[in-house]
Amino acid sequence: MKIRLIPILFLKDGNLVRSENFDLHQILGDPFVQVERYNTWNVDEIIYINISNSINYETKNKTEQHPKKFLEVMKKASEKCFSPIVFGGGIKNLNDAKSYFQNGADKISVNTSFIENTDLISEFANIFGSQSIIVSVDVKIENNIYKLYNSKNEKTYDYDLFDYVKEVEKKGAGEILINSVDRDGTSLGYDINLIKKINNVINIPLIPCGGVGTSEHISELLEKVDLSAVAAGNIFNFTERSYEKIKNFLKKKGYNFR
Amino acid sequence: MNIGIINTNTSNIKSVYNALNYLNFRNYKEIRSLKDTEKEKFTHLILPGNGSFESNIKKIKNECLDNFLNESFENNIFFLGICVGMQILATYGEENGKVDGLDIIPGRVEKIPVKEKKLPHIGWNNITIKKNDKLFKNLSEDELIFYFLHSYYFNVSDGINNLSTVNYDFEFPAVINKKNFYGIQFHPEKSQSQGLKIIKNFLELR
Repeated sequence: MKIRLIPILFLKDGNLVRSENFDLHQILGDPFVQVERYNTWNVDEIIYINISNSINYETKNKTEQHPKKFLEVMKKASEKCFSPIVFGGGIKNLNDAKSYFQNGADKISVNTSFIENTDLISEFANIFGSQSIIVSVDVKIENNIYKLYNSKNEKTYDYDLFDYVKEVEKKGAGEILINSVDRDGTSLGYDINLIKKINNVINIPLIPCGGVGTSEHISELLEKVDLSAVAAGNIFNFTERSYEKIKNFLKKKGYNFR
Repeated sequence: MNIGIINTNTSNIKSVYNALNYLNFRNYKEIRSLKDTEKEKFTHLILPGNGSFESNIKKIKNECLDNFLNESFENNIFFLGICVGMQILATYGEENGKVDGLDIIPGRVEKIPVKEKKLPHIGWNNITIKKNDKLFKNLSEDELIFYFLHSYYFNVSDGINNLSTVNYDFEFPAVINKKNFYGIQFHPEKSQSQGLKIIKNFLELR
């Protein structure tokens, strides 16, 4: 079984964007060129997250139940990629999920709408199977404590982050995608301490992201934490043939990549 | 050639269409209910994966497609079940308690008995061919790596139905076959060029 190297693409109002500490969105442009490139590079898997302000996005398409544009992005992107694609962002109910799967998603990623209603995870798992449901968890450090963060209302929660991820697993999540608000877009490397702690309390695959600036950041993490997947965003956007190069670097280091 | 794609509402059906379009097999029709099968002479059927065992078998039975699949088996129509689309061919599944399957390929669908590894089994894994078949045509040894996404596996009652295996703390079937019916545990539609080759090989079965 190979370790997966997963690029995460963030989309805002139809554009590929770069984020830093969950803010400062720099527009990178066309969301499809990148997907095509990844497909050529024989990518292991791709995660596409729609971070549009859903209210603005939906008012343009008042008659539609879902953000129409993102569905269009999904359809078009999926036609260009024969590796698994995860789509997330804005999934609130079963109908949203169904329409994501029918329009190009192989798995879905859910987040903010599930924080206060984790029973929804069980509901989804019963219908779509746990394996197709990634629960995305954003973490922010506050007074030296790792806290669960809600990117929609920009608030942290008081309940224990580690209890939350355990609950998410218990309710039927197939994987957990963990992102660090403090490391996002900083190129300072993963928050290894956080990833290790989370990995120790769950028995489902963990996909860490946030902070990768060099290939070494990935190998440093793998050295300390036993993982079956690693994800990164910005590093793939700015370097030519970066995906291939990083894979080769990690394989040379002896890690079991495809 | 006339391809029927069965839509159970929970599957990643678009990915299967993308693969067919890419391979230039455009003569397909979506099957949502028994009505969609009337007056059609299908040569090949595909049941895409995703979703739970229970939700998929319920949908198949509610739409009376179980009889249609049984008849297709008898009438030598080629069938490809992907992931849970393969699993529902079993006698029964144990995903949400014991649920009866179609019992076309005898066996039961059980949780993978992992020791150290985590479930679900997600990612690219190598398969071993046990019995050569037209489905594996033009695949080289280093192409035998595919994307898996599941926690349950098909425990076939008769080893003769097992064409290929995969190992994840435990060895279990990756590809099964009985007569004109095929089941694939991994996702060929999402396994790059080697996966597309398998789909092409399936559609070229005569």
